[in-house]
Amino acid sequence: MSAERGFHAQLVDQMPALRAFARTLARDASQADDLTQEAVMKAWANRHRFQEGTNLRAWLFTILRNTFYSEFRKRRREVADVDGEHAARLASKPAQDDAMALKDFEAALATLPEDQREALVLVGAAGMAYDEAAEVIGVATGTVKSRVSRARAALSEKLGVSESGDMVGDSNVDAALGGPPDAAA
Amino acid sequence: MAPDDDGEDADKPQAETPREAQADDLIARNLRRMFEHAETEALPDRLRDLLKRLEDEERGGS
Repeated sequence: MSAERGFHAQLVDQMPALRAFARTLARDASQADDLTQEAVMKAWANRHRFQEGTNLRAWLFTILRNTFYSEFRKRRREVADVDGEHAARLASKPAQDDAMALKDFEAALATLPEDQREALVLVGAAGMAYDEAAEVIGVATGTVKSRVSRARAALSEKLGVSESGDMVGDSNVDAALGGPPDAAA
Repeated sequence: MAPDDDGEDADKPQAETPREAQADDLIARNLRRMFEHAETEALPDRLRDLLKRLEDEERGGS
């Protein structure tokens, strides 16, 4: 297939998706690039272990994910609270345009448990099949299915999708993220 | 092993109600936008330098 293109060329093809995946894990552009860089160097050092004709994207995502959990997760946790506050603030603003809607979405996504978020990202954003995502995460396909399902349900609620299927006002987003300030008091 | 033998569409989440379908659509759209946004950003110098170095290594070495 693409063996004659060389590993480097195939790696370059995967860089945008790899970096996008790193963004969803690190949630900070600079740290995501650190993570991507580290993963690329590891993949390169171990390229002889990659079997031509198998799934390079899944292989690279697995390396990046393992790198994140072994070396970067702690660093992320250090800023997790700050991220959470920022996310909640973003989510409390009205989603009137696409950019803001995306910000709201990212904020809601950030509140999901890590395992659910990564399953949802792999399947929903990276377009992986369940079994491919399962390979990356290192769990059974059924586990990915249930994580994605729970993530979807939680996100629907946080984003305030009404019974009719419409997005509802930001008061529902507030409620899902902990309730408006005066309601809590 | 069968790395790519699945029917991808059959192995994707299936919404059971209109509300779920709407939510799925909203979620899928935003997830893709998030990814696309990150994918279209130019690589920073350090990643470009790294790829260049690896390319040189591949040409000169293995």
